[in-house]
Parts: sequence; structure tokens; C-alpha cells
Amino acid sequence: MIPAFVHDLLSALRRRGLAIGVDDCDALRDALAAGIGWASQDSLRELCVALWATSRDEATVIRAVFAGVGAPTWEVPLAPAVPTPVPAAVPAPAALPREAGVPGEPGELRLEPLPGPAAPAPPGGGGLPPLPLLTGRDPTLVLLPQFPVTERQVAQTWRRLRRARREGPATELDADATLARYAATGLAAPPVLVPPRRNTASLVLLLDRGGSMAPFHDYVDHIVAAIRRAGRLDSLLVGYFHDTAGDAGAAGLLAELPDPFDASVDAVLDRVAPLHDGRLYSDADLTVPLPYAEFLEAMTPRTAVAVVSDAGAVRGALSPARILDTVALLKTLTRRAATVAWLNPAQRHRWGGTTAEQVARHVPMAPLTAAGMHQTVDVLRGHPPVVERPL
Amino acid sequence: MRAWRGSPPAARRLVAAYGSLPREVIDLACHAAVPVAVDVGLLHLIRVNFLLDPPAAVPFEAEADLLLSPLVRELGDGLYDIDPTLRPLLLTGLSRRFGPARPQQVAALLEQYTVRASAWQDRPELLHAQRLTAVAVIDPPQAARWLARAEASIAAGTALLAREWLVAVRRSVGDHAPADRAADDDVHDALDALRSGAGDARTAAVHRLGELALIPGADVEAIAGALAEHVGEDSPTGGTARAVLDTITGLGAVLGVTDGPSSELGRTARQHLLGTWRAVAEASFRDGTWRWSPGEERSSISDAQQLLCLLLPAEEIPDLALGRPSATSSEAEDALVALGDSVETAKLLMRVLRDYLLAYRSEDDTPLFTGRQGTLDLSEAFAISARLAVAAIGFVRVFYGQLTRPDLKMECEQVERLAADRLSAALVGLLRSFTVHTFTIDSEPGHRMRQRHGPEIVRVLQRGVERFDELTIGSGNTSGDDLRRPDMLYSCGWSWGVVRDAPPIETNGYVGGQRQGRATLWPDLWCTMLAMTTIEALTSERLLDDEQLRMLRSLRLRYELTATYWTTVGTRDGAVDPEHDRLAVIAITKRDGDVGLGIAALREVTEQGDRAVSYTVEGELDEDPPLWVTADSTPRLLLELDRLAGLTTDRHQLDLLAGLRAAVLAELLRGRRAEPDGTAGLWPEWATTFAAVEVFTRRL
Repeated sequence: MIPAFVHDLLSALRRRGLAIGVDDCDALRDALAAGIGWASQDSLRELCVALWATSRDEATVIRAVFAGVGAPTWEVPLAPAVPTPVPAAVPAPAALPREAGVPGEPGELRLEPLPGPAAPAPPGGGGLPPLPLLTGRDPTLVLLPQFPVTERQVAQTWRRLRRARREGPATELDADATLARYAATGLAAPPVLVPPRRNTASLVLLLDRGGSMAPFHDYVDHIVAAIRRAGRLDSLLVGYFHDTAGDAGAAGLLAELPDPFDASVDAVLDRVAPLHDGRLYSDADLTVPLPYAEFLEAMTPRTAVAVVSDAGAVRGALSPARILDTVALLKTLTRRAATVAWLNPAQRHRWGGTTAEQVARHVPMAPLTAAGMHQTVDVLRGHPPVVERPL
Repeated sequence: MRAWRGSPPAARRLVAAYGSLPREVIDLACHAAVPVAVDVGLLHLIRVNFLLDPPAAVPFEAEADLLLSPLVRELGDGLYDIDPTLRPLLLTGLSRRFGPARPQQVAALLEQYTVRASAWQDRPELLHAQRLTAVAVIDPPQAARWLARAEASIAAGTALLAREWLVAVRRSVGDHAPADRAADDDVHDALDALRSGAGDARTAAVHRLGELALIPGADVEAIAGALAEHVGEDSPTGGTARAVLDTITGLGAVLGVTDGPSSELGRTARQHLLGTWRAVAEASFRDGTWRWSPGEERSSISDAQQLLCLLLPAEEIPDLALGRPSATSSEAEDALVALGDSVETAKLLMRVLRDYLLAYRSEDDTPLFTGRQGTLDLSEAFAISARLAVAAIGFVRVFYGQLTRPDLKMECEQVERLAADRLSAALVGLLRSFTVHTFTIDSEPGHRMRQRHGPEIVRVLQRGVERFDELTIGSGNTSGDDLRRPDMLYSCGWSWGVVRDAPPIETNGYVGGQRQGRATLWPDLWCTMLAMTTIEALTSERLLDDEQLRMLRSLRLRYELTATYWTTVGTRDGAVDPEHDRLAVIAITKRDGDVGLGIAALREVTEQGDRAVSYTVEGELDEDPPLWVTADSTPRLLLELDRLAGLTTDRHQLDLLAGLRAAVLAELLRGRRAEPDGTAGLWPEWATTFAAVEVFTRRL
């Protein structure tokens, strides 16, 4: 019988985004059958880490969850000979010696101070007496964020944004062409060379910052960092803005909307001019301006643009002026870039009745989840978007 | 949902939060109340460390929901703090919902985040406040010592941080309740103040209790139970208690109120009804045997009440119907599980109905309507039997349609025949128990009546006299009498049984022998009320045959005459004449034009407290000693209060009635038996249990 803590461990890890499957469980079983991981609780834990973790962060998560699931503690003083393989693989907790009050049991805090330099004194102290540090490294506490989408998922998704093309100096042997030429002419000639394949996809991310986006800053940063690390893109430009990228000067059009209670701006849509000048920043704190001309230059027909903004959905806001400003920006992008898509950190059910609902009529919008990003990458790769009123 | 009027600001905000935010967000807010302030990163770590696994699995969106909610203030620079008015309540809620160790666990995370993640390095005042908060939660004495030393160094001018910082941080640390203060101490203090305080202090205690009930994880049921004891008070305290209780019960689902003895006022009539059904079923059917009137000496009255406890709701509420076993709701089946499944329940009911109908018959097959003692038929038995017979006919007619087995069909037919006979006999009995009693203006009662109502009463009562001539069958026809004489007065209603000299009724229906009447010609108001309640309840005319309909129409005429008479005689100077039973007068007269008069009378009844009513039954022979019949009027009072509440839209009257209804309901619920003798959950008398079932059924 598999002890209860193993079930708890597996389901807790799955909830934390680690895809532990049957194969992984078999691997643990095999390792235990081979006599590994029996020496102590620590050795079993490190075995799980070795088998299941694919990154240092995952290792940290596995250790913390392991410490919290109430695994029994034991210590085998001398490594015995390889034990007879047990079918159940994992020892039943009752069969193992227990120690009372071991650190790491759930609900218990270790209060002995953490030794050494790992515990820095409060800086300066402002002339105040030093504060005692009461907690040590509680093994159950995790100080790593665990966002709904893991770095691996982000990387896998955005790697699909590929436009492989042969570009640059011819350095790669084209074996087929070389053979074909030899067969055709019978002459020993130099091999045929072609330029190597390169991913020429270039991505522009426009990120809304501040206000209702503030709760999502860390999450969006995590996604951008993961794309940057793993996306293998030809170029990646990240621009930041607050609420809108600029005033479209279309305020006059608002007065011409026929029905003041109808949120759509369809009646004046054709008369909204593309955004000729905007306020974009190249840093997340919105302090270093990104010249709009430079931004426009980066837009080529090969560029994919993803806007990340809640468009009022988080707070339930509806602003016709913001719709017009957004439409102006989107017109600029669609005129110059190949593909545009919108990622919204608010869940889809929040969009109704807000600016987001109207924006989503003009540009493909998806929630900022694994599935939503998958759809977005499809759009950015050129899958024809389905929107009610394309620009 | 809005909080009650005059509620403390924290309570108002919590009620608003419960109405607009998912429960998980409030759980997260309890955790976020531990630090002085949170940023997005710390809030996220709080969630992934403490709120990722069931039963408290909080989704990622809750983080943004909380940070953008009114529970939280944005301090700028990516920092947020919990609304200071709510922080102490949410901190209490954290221990309540997640155990006393949870604040320390969050404090440990706070300390680790501050130190290891190097958060707030550029803001020494925040960094110190966060570290100090962690120490204050994990080791309060150490925090106190540090604060004293810090104060000294600030006073000596050696510290960079200002005194204001110290004041703010002291206050913030103070939000964390001292560890030696138990979670329930606040509730106990408020309850003490409510019970022993006076005036404003008691009202303040009610406000405080409402606030405490809103704390996540609070013992809402205990608080609601305590408040329920005071809702009947006619004082600001009572009014506030009602308003607070309304808010709490309105939020019941959100606050996680579960069934419990103290939250009974918050339960719906349906839950009360199903609970009573369960108790009736468990008391009535034991070891495969039906027990008649358990807890009481059996009689034709109590046995009928016992059966009607099951049949009345089944007849009145479509989804509690029992005659069609395949369509019986799981709720009903579950409540009556002691009787077996829905098929067995229906069969059992049919058979005990037959047993009842056969049991109360004389040797010559005359239906008997006797009480516990004596051999005389009682009008109360006529009334209840008529209702049972109609319910039985309705039940077996539906059940018959479900049956294929001929033997069961025959049993059904037999029950229907017996019930129809008993119905006819009961209607005859009611017709013969009606009385019009005449007396001269100079007799003692005539004198008293003129004294109370003035001499014009003679003329007033003369006005409707000729309508009594329409009473062609049964008792009460006075055409041969001197009712129209200007020196005569009269009284009318139902007596305790068939009245003296009541003529037998000529009918084609089988009613058995019609015995000589023995009852006094003086009407009894309680018997009158019971008879009239039955006449009102007999609405299913399709279940009656022509003879029975003719008798019912004649009874309805008596009903009208009686109501008119008592409207005149029962009130005086715009109030119910205290000479008469106020509850019965209100029930008889149905003064729907004057709700205020009804409320005033029933309020006096409620406050007067004595719920026992009684009437005398004379003996068979003149030398027999009279018998006393007593009853508990609590459920009847509630029935009438409910009726009045349906007649008014006036805010003040509704408030007043809400208080009275809550108080009487609490009184009714308190009256149930608790003895583990198989009758737990029932009232001491089957009359009360049935009337309570009637109240709950009407409320649905």
C-alpha cells in the first residue's frame, strides 16, 4: 500500500504546476526497488528531487512540499546491503521509526535562528537596536513565486512563433542540390551552399503598466522574462504604456456617436485616424521614454505585436474615449505590422460591459493563461483572426 | 445586501465585501492583514504558501481581486495595506478560520520575505515595521522589550526614525490580539453587556455582536441564537437585534451557517417542516409497528392530529406530496425515512388511515368523535376529523391511480368510503354544534353587554337578524324564537359539542345515528375558532359529494354570521374587548380592514405570556363533573401573526410584526420535547405539533 503522504505529495506538486505522471512514479518505484532512497527521509526527498525536478526552482518547490506533507522521519545508521525489492516500493509509515517533534512537520515553526551570513542584519538599523531574527529556514516555506503559467509552458508556447528563413551568407551544404548537380553534369564541382535557416520572427510586446495592472506586474514580468530567455526570436522589443499608448485626438468623434448608451464606436470607427504620436516607455517604471518613431520603425510586415492589458476589465471600467485611443493604436499597428493580438490578464467573464469587450470586437483577445497564449501565438503566426469588426 | 442601520463602519464594509467578493478573497485578506503592508510579491507568496491546497484553495485571480477591492488601500509604490478598521477583525478571523498557528506561520513568511528576499531595503521604516510585526506575532514579549529600547534611543536622538513612526508601528502591532485572549472573549463580553447592561449599552452590545458575527470563522450560530432571544423586545435593543439578525441570516450562506439548534430562527419554514416530519415519523413508527399518539393518551382528536401532521403538508405543498410514490421528492423521502421508502410510506399511510377510521366507530358503525375522557362527541373532534377525512380522500384518490394490484386498490376504495362517511358525520356534528343563544336585555349577560357597548347595541345586533332564518338545517335557526324582540340580545358561535335540542339533520349520506345534544348554548370562542379554521380549510370541493357540499355551504353561512357578530361584540373603543379571548376574537373576526387593531391585540397576547387556553365539557349526565380541555395557543398565535403580516405593507407594522413573529417562533421552538424517549422534536401535545405543522405549511 502506498502511504498517504505520497498521494498528498503528488497532488500538491501537480497543483503547483509540476507535471508528475505515471512514468515519474514508476521511476521512483524502480529507484526504490534498486535500493536508493532508503537511508533517511532526506535521502528519499533528494531522490524525488533528482527524478522529478527539471530546474532549480522546481527542486525548491519539491523540497518545500515534501517538508509539508507529513512524511515519516527515519534514519538508518549504516547503509545496509541492497534490500529485497518490495512490491509496494515505498515503506509504510508505520514500519518506520518515528521521531517526535522533528523540524518540518506541518504546523510547526522552527524558531532557532538561522546561523551564518544567510541572515543579514537589518541594514543600517537607523540607529535602532537590532531586531532579533526568530525564524530559521523553515523548509515548508517557499519564497519562489508560482504563477499560473510556468516558464516551461511560456517557452514552449512562444517557440512556436517561428518564421524560419534562409538568410545571410551561404554557409550550409545543400547535399541534395550538390548530388543533383553532379548527377546532371558528371563534373566534380564545389558543393552547393545555402544560407542557414534562421528564425526571423520579431516580436513586439506592448505592456500596460500601473493602475489596475499593478497586481499583475510580477506575473507579466515573469512571462516576458520567460519569452526573452526561451523564445529564440530574431528580435524582441518591449514597450510600456499606461492605460493607452497615446491620445488619438478623437474626442470630437465621441459627440457624434448616435446612441450614448451603446458602448460600440462602430459609427465613427472609419474616421479614427491611426495614432501618429504616442507615449511609450522602454522601462517598466515608465521613466525612460521610447521614441514613438523608433517604435514605428520596428514595425515591419514580419513583426508580431502582442498587447498585454486588462483594458478596464479588472475594475469593470467602460470608457469610449479609451476605446477610440486603443483603436487608433491598433490601426497604426495593423497598417504596419503583420499580426496583432491582445492578451488580457483578467478572466474572460470579466470582460463583459467593459472597454475590453469592445476592444475584443476589433482585435483577437485572449486571457493571459497557457491556453490563451497558445491562441495568441496562433494568431501571431498568421492564422486568420476571427473578430467581429476587423480594423 | 446592506448592513443593518447604525452598524459600525467595519461591519458595513464587511457586509459589502461579502456581497461583492468571493469567499476566497476574504480568506486571502485575513492573511494579508498580518503584515503592516503587502506588495504584489508578498501577497502572491502568502497565497502559494498557505492557500494553494484544499480545503482553502484560492485561485490566482483572487490576488488582483483583493488588491483592487475596497478591503485594501493603495499606498503607492506598489504597496497596499488592509483597511485599518478591518484589520483587527480580519486578524481574529485568520486564527478562527485557519487555527491559532496560522498568524505565526504568516509572520515567519513575512520575516523570511523581508530578510531573504531583501524586500524594502530602501525603506528602513517599513522594513523595521515588518520585522517588528513578525516578532510581535511570534514572540510578543520580545517585541515589547525592543519597542521600549527603541523608544529610548529615539528619545536620545540617536535613531534616524522619528517618534511618529514609533507611534504608528505601536498601533499596528497592537492590532494583533494578545495571545492570552481567547477568540470568544469578545463575544462573551458583548453577551454579558447585552444581558446585564441597560439602555444604550445593550444596544451597543447588539451592534458589537453583529460585527463579531461577521468575522470570518465566527460562531455565527451562537451569536444569532443569543440575538434571537432579544428580538421580541419592544425597545431600541430589540429593533437593533432584529435588524442585525436579518443581516446575518441574509448572509447565512456566505458566513457558512450550518444547521444547529441555536440558528433555528434562521432556518426556513421548509427546514422546520421537514424536521418536524422526521420527528413525527420517528416517533410514530417503531420496530415495524405504528404507534398512535405517542407521548399522549390516544383519542380520536390526537390520532387525527398525528396523521394530519403528515398528510396536511403532503396535501398542500406539491413537492411534498406522498400519494404518487414515484414522484415523491428525495427531500420528503429523506425526512420520512423512518417510515420506509416512498412506496412503503404511502402504503403505511393508507393502512393507518383505515385503522383510524375503523377504530373510532361504534358497534352500529356510527363514527365517534370523543375526546380523551368521556363518551360525548366534541366539536374539536368534528373539526379535526373533517380535515383529516378530506386529506385522506385526496391522498387515496391519487394513490389509487398509481396502483395495479387489485387487493391494494380495494383497500384504497375502502379507506375512501370510510373517510367519506366520517366527513359527512363530522359536518353534521359541526352543523349541530353551532349555537345562537338569546337572552333579554335585563338578564345579567344582557345588562353587562349594554353596559359595555351602550344601549344602541340592541339596535346594532338587530340589523343582521333575519339572516339567521336562512339556517335551514342544523342548529341555530331562531325563526321560532323571539330574536327580533327589542328587549332581546344574543350570542352566536360554536359550543363544545352538539348543543341541547339540536335537531337531527336529514341527509342521504350515511352518518350513523345522530345522538342527542348535551352542550350548553353558550358559544365557546376557542371551539368557535377551531370550527371556523376547519370551514376555511375545506376548499377542495371536488373531494366532497353533493350532500357534503350542501352542508358545507350551510356551515359557511354560519361562519359569516359569526364573524360579523364578533366584529361588533368583540371590540370596544377601537380595541379588542379584554373580556374575551383576544387571540380567538382576532382569529374569528379576520378584521383585515384593521390590521393595527389586530397587531395591538396580539401584541398584548404575546406579552402577557400565558399560552394555556381551556374550556369546559359538561358530562353525559347532569351529575357528572365537568371536564377541562386545555390547549397551547402558541402556534395559533403565530398563525394569526403570520396572517396579519400578509395583510399590511406598512413598514412600521411589518417591523412590529417581525419582532412579534420572531419572539413567538422562538417560544414555539423552545417548547419542543427533548427527552430521548422517541418523541424528541415533537411538542408535548399532538394538538400543538399539528398546529405547528400548519404554521410551517402556511408559511411555504
